[in-house]
Amino acid sequence: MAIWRYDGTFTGFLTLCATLVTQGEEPEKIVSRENNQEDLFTSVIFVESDEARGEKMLAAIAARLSPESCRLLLTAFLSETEGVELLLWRYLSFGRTVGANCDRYPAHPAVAPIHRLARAVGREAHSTMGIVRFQETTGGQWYATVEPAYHVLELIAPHFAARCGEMNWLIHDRRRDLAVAWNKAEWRLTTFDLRGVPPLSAGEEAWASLWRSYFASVAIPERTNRRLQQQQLPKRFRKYLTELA
Amino acid sequence: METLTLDEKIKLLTESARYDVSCSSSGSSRANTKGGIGNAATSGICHSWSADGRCVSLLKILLTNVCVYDCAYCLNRRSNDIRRTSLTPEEVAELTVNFYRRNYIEGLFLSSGVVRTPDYTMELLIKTVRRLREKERFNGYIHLKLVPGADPLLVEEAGRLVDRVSINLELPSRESLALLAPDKSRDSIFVPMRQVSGLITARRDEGRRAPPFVPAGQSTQVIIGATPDSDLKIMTVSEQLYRRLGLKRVYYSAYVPVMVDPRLPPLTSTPLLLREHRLYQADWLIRFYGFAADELLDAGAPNLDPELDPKTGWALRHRELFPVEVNRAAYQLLLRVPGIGVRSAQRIVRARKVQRIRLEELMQLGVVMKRARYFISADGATSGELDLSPERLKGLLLPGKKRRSGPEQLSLFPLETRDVSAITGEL
Ligand code: SF4
Repeated sequence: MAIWRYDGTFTGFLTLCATLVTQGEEPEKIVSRENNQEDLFTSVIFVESDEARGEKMLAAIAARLSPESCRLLLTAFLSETEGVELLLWRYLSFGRTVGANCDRYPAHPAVAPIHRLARAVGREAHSTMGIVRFQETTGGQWYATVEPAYHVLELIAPHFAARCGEMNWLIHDRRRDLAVAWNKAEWRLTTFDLRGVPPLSAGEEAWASLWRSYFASVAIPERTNRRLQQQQLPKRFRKYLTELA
Repeated sequence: METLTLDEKIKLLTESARYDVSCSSSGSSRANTKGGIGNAATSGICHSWSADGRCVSLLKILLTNVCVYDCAYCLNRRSNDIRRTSLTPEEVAELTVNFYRRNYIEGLFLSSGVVRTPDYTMELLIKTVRRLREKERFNGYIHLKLVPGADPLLVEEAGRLVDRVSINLELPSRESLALLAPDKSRDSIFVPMRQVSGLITARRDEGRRAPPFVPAGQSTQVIIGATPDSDLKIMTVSEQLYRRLGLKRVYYSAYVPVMVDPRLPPLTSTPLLLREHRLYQADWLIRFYGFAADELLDAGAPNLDPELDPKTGWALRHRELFPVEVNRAAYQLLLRVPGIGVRSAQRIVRARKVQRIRLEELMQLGVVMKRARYFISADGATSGELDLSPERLKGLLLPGKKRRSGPEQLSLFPLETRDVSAITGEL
């Protein structure tokens, strides 16, 4: 058994899986970064990311397991949790033996962690869709900042592309220095490390202020329940919220 | 009417609208159009939570708080001395679109006081949503209030433009309605409700290509605690609204005393939040768990137990049905086990097709073993004592006393914590 390394992308990971399958190998560990601490006697095998092989692998998973399994794999992968790759590989291996029935074993040790991670990431993506706050910049672009716990940008991009197709928008993940940008035709994931906020359009503050007024008025004073509000809207979600900033 | 700034108008018209508790934006599906803005997502999205812990999903506002009616429980009643104002259809449309672009909201929930006549008011409301849909090309979610007694043609026109309509029953019995809302007859509420229900059914038979008619269905609201109506009365009405008229939701709103009136509880009374919470739980059981109202309540016990959630209460009254074997029990019976929710029941049914489920695995399937253990067996094995006395078992199932600081601080969701949002038990 060896340590296997890839470039950290989902395509890279799929390529690695394809390699493991063809060579009939069982990895001891799968890592995405070079690590000097590894002991000298274990060999590290690097697999170059290959778009075509990755796609083929994904198609094979969709056929052999199910399209739902593909979605689960990607979603759990985006948790970026330490060691998630090996968990995904185990899920995949188990799936190769039971086929389309794979997700009917939600309590199986190869399946349960993937379901749990995918659920957590899915929830984070759903919450993030709600708390994105676009601000109109002087250039007529719409800019938003988020700091999600997981790497959800590509999960939320299609939602905003469908919804705000006529806006040029950019959602900045400040925790990862990444952004997803839409140019009215397609969305793209890019590195992005803007600090501060770009200059905002003249009308922006007026709308934000009306929104704050609305937000303050809609709460029923006799039912004030800060604890419940806190529970639903933890601190990490509040940072970029117009109404709570 | 005095002249107010837009900001002042928003504050006033929101304060008047906030007692309508519906905030759902789910259950519709409307695609964006070329050059348009917005769509309606099938699963609702919360954009924020206000200081009362409620999800903020829609711009919930009145077109005007002017009203010719005099409903005792309402801030906007004719005889109440408050500042009156209104927004124009243009203002509402612009506000909605600008809030939507910034992703503050999922859409609009528009209601209104009755100006001049029900028809005149309905026309104003329609004008507003028409402007949004046609001029602003807004495809986001719209929930529109129907005015009691509005002309059927206007009701139908409204329904073609929006995602959901609602007309609030507010009071579950004819007597209470006559007492507190003398201007509204029961018919002025039920006639439009029935009409909408009929049009939804007709639309369903026309096939998928027909133009949509309230794709997210209709809902209503009942006020809790303003009148002596029992939970049995309320749940029986709800059950009929669901089963006969196909309503999507009945909302329960604990009465907040805003008016001094001899017909109403005094201003010093606090809203019955625990009762409201229990009603939502019972409602949930009727809609998703196959319970009938008369299984949960009867003339002997016409009100829900404040101490226990209604499902656990039912299970304690039916010890003879337990333990149920999770590998064999029908889905409908699984749903009746305390600690097993819709999702965990579905997972059990899926999982047992390919394997026998063991006790240790149930937690992975989402079963809350702390509660379920007294009611189930898995492959013959059990983990809770099954022959406890009723009092002892009830004691074990009561929610922990320590963490509760009284019903006003209520925030527990014993049914299925993760699937529901605050207060309304939204899926
Ligand atoms: S008709 Fe509506 S707005 Fe007017 S008083 Fe009655 S509840 Fe209030």
